Amino acid sequence: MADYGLIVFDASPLITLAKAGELDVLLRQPLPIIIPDAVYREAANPSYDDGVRIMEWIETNQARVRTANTRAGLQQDILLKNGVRATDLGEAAAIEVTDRFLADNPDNRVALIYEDAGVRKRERDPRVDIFSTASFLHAMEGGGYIQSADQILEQASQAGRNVAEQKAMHTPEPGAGLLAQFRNARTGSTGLLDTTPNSLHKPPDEPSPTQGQTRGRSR
Amino acid sequence: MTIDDALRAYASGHSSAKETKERTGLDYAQVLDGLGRLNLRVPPPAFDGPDGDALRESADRFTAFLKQAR
Repeated sequence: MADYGLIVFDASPLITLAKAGELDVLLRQPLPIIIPDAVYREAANPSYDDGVRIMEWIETNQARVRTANTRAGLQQDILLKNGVRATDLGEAAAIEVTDRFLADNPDNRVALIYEDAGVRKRERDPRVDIFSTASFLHAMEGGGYIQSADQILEQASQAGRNVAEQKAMHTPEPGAGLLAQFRNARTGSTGLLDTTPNSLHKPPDEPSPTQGQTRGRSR
Repeated sequence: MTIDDALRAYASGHSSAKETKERTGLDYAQVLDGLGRLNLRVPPPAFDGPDGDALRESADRFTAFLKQAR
């Protein structure tokens, strides 16, 4: 039986789970979770709601979830201080953390969660298993820790779906203006004959009942 | 290639998240929102690439570990 010692995360899977509102599923599995510093900066961006959610989740669960300093993170810090947006250093930081752990624990394995596991060449240490968010969640489902990986993946893109639906609701049907004028002329604008849903009458910037599901600020 | 084309290519497993971010100029959270707008979602596990066998082996091993650890 393989002896896994650690799960290391890149930013995209954390963002996916935060958007799905399902970060806590990570706590159901038994392994310690490491978030490298460069990944933390990318994922826990306080400018965005899901970034705040990730930050709070890490703070709340420090017994199981730890951040780790890396050389890649230091490099990212220097670049950011010089106004350079440093991307993809999260991956380098995750590899650094993994290599360090395996040097100290040669008999263990590491699960590394990237979004792009399916297209990544496995040039790394054979003790490192690489998973995409989907394959990780399907393993969780196979292990009996969650009911449905697909449901969580569906929830992750739900915010964008809600926004699209909101836009569709605010887009008038062809001829709707003419129909409204006709109705107003007949009813004296009392709205007595108006059966259109209330949400259509709100100005575009006023939140509708379903808008809260979009999780506020998006990235 | 439009942003929507790039998102569709990602959702169908024909391009990576990294390629999608580069092609669209979006960050990953925006990619997720874009997928939702198109009624798509994160691609399923892919075991048919050049490393498919190794990825499946990893998935099976990790699933077995999780089952045993329950």
